Amino acid sequence: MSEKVLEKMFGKEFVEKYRKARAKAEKIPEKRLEEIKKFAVENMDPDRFAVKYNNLDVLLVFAPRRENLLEIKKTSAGNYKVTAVWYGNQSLRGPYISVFTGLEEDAERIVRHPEAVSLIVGKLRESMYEGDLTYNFRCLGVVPLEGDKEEFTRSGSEVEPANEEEIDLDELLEEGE
Amino acid sequence: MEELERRIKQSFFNLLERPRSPGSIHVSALPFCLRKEFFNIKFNANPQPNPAMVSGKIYHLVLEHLDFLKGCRFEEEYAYGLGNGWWITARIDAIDENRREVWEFKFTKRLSSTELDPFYFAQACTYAVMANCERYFIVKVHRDTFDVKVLEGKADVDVFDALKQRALHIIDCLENNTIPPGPERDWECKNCVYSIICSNLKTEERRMEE
Repeated sequence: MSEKVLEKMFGKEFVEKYRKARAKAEKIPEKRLEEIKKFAVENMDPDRFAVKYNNLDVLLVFAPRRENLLEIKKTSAGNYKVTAVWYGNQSLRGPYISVFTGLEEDAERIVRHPEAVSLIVGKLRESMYEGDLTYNFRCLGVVPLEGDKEEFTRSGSEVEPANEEEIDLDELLEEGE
Repeated sequence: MEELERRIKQSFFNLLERPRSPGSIHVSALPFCLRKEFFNIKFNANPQPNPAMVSGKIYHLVLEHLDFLKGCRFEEEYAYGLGNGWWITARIDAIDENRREVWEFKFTKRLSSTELDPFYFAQACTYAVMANCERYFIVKVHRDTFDVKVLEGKADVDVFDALKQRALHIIDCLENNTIPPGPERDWECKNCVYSIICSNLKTEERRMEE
């Protein structure tokens, strides 16, 4: 909907309150996130670093290595955007994915420290941009994984570190909200 | 048999029969097209019931039997006087006076709607102000699965004031025989019974501009 109409009618403060209420309503409860974590541990596709859980996408992602890429940006639609590294990404530009969360605390969880490992739960969107695949993710829940990295990586293989010089291209992505 | 079937069907639609009180402007109409509510009042017309409205009404009828809402009062009517015989009116699905909470239910096939949810949120907020409650809840229930999504907010007089201003605009137009502007969103014209009038008005305006 047109955010401008809503803002004109009720003011900025109301729009902000509504966004927060919506984000809270959409957030997946902790108990269910625990169930999803158990399911993901057993069923994660090691080539895609992803698994489907009912109608939700579950991705294994890493926070970028470089501190300056751990920034949380607020979007014009009132969501929070972070960049994560997802090795299931088929894009030629590198393994980055834009993750949008409704709650700031979820964004903080994803980039809580460099190379932090998380499961993110929500909706993955794939589209073409200038002939290449791009992705963004509407995140409804985050499961931080500390010390569990081995559970999800391919047995005996090391995950290649991301080429973080390519990160600027990510800014060209549309937010897709 | 055909006549019997028709009568049975009609009796469901009759559940929605609710004559408009003179001078009453419904809160639920205020976030939407002012011109539509203007015509409704001018022509003393009630919205034409459709099957979705009938099933919504049926779902609402069971609310008082839900153990979750024990102690609430249902379908309570509130009115806020605007002077000169005009009122903003509200019918609240459920109100818990002890906890000072208002509950507004929406039975839908889409648990999340970016177009409508903000306006439901504003509607319930206005109800909370009118009923002197602190908090309000929009409960969206999926018609088939009964999955539930809840939006929660705190009463906010500014939202009530914003809708009050829209009501005053309609009254001003009614009293001065002018027509308020059309909808802020084009999709509101879809299925609107007054769209033929609006399209003629637009044609007239274009002609005047030329």
